[in-house]
Amino acid sequence: MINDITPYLILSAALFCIGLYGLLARRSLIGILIATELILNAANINFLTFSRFMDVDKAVGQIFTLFVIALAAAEVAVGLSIVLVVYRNFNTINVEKMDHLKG
Amino acid sequence: MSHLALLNISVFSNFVAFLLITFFLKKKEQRFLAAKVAITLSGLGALVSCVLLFQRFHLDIALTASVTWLKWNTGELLIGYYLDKVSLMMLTTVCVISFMVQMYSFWYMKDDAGIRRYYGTITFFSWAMIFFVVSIDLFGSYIFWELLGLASYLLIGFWHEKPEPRRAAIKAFIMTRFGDLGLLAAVILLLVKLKTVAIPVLITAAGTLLSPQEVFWIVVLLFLGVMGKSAQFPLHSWLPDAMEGPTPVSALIHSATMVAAGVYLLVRLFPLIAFSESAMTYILCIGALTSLIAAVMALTEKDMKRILAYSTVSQLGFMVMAIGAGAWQGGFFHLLTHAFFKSMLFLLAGYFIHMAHHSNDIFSMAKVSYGTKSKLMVALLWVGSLALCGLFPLSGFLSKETIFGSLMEGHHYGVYGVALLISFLTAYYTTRMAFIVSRNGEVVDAQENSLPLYMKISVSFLGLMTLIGFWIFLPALTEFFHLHSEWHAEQWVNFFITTIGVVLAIGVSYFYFGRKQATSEKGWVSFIPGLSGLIENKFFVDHFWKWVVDKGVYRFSRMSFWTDVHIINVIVDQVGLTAIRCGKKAAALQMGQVQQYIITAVVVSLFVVIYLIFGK
Repeated sequence: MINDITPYLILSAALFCIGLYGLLARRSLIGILIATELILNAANINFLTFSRFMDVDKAVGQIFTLFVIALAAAEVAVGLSIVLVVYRNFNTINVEKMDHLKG
Repeated sequence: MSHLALLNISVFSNFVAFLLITFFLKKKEQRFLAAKVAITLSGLGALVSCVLLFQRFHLDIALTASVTWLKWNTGELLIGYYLDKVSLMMLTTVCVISFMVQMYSFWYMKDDAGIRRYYGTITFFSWAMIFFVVSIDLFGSYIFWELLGLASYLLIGFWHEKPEPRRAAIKAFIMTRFGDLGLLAAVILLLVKLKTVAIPVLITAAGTLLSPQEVFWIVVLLFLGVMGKSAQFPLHSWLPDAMEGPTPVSALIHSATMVAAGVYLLVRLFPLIAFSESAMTYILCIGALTSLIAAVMALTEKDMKRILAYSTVSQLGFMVMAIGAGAWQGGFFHLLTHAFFKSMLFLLAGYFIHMAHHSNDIFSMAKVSYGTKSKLMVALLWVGSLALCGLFPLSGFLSKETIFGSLMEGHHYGVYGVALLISFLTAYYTTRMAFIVSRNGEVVDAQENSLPLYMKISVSFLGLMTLIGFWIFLPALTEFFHLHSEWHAEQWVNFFITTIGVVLAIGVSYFYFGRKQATSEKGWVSFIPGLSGLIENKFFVDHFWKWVVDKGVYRFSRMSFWTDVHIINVIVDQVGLTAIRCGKKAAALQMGQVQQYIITAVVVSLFVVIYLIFGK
């Protein structure tokens, strides 16, 4: 079982779908940020899985994953500060309320 | 020195003077220096052109020097010189007359504050004409043709403080520009058809490469330009008005530059023109009509410069008529002789106007008593006038006789009759002017002081050219113009007919204006009902153009304005409004809900993925 690719991919797909659902269904900006993290991690698992099971240089997938983790950290930092600013300006973090740019 | 170097000197001497005056001699106290520089350099140019004439005239090969100026895959434009006998003779004439006029102008303009500007413009004018004459490429000719128009505009409107010169300058510019459109169209047509407009090609091969129909339209368009520049009916009315410029400028415009350009172009391109019979007939008719109408208009004119102006129009028409009848040698010969005596007549007009206290009226000139010091000028006036009549043995006789001779040989008897009538009228109004001007009145003129030598030289030189100049060159000219070296019965008949006509006209003119007790102002013209009125209204040509502008141009521009406001503006507005409306519709898609955008993005990318996997 440990040498079978399917469970890993199912895990990754499940994580992606949960993340996507969260991204679309959550109204809170914080929730959306968390959902984004899930999607990124789904991608990470995919990278590692294919790096493990395919006949490629094993370093490539792992380095990519490290990059994605670093990127996710930076994204959370920026994202959370945006959330803070949004909250200060609008007194809410509900995305449905933020439609000032609509045509 | 090589001939090319000589040619360069004679072409560019005037231009160098123009540059020096424009960029270096700017100060007010340098104005006489500027004039002297212009006179010296154009004198050099004239001298060199004479040397060139004597060295090259017996050679049959044309001097060509050119560089490709613009080249594209289907054609090319050249810039450079083409100096055959025709352009050589014209070059010398232009250089010499321009020099004489500039020398004379120093006397005429020395009290004018704008003398520096005057010399700057007149050298530019001469340069444009000289380069026009020797240009190898018709497009190059066209450029200098336009520069001529510009320079003449500046010179006619030289005294721009006054309203009349301004108006005359604008009139001259617009009327000649109208014709120039035709010339430009002809050049473009030739360029499209032949891929080149080099003059050597045009005069040797063009006719065989084009159909007569094409030649006809090209010549008609080309002739429109000639009509503008050489003041042919109905575009002639700018020329009499151009008298508003300084008199030496009129001398230059009416003889060797500007108006000569049109006739010269016809002579230059004669081999091309001759390929279309109908175009030749058209040219012939316009020339004859112009010549006749202008001659009639000069009959009762009182302004000396306007008489001369009408005579120029008439003589130009005469040349064009000769060219239209196929006698291009006669036309060209007349252009050369006419240039000398007409410039002299204008310079003399400047003198007589000066004497009559700046009045152009021949009757106020008649009141002036001319002393011994004016003898020379009065004598030269008669020389010039009789040359204009075409009386033996003056230069005008030689060329006029050539034209009559070729008309007779070509069996153009109708044209011959018209030419005879024109010659009669010319002799009548010219001697009328001379008789009245040279009357000795009682008023003592204020300017009885002696004239400067250079002024006398310039006028006398032109007089000398009129008297004997062309006889000296006659052996060489006989060969070139195919003149008859021996006269047979036909030539004698011709000689007697024309001379009798001229003498008769002079007699009539003497009867009305020459006798001591003569008081008539208009002569026999007042006996013909309607003619006076017709002349006073200038044959309604100006009325016609005013009507064209009022009813045609203004109405058209009003119509264009209406179209612009009510049609084009509406269309443009609607296009803009439609764009705005579409934008509004599309903006509704922008609902502001981030998560809906994401759904859209996900669904679309899903479809893209499905397409990428199964689509192939």
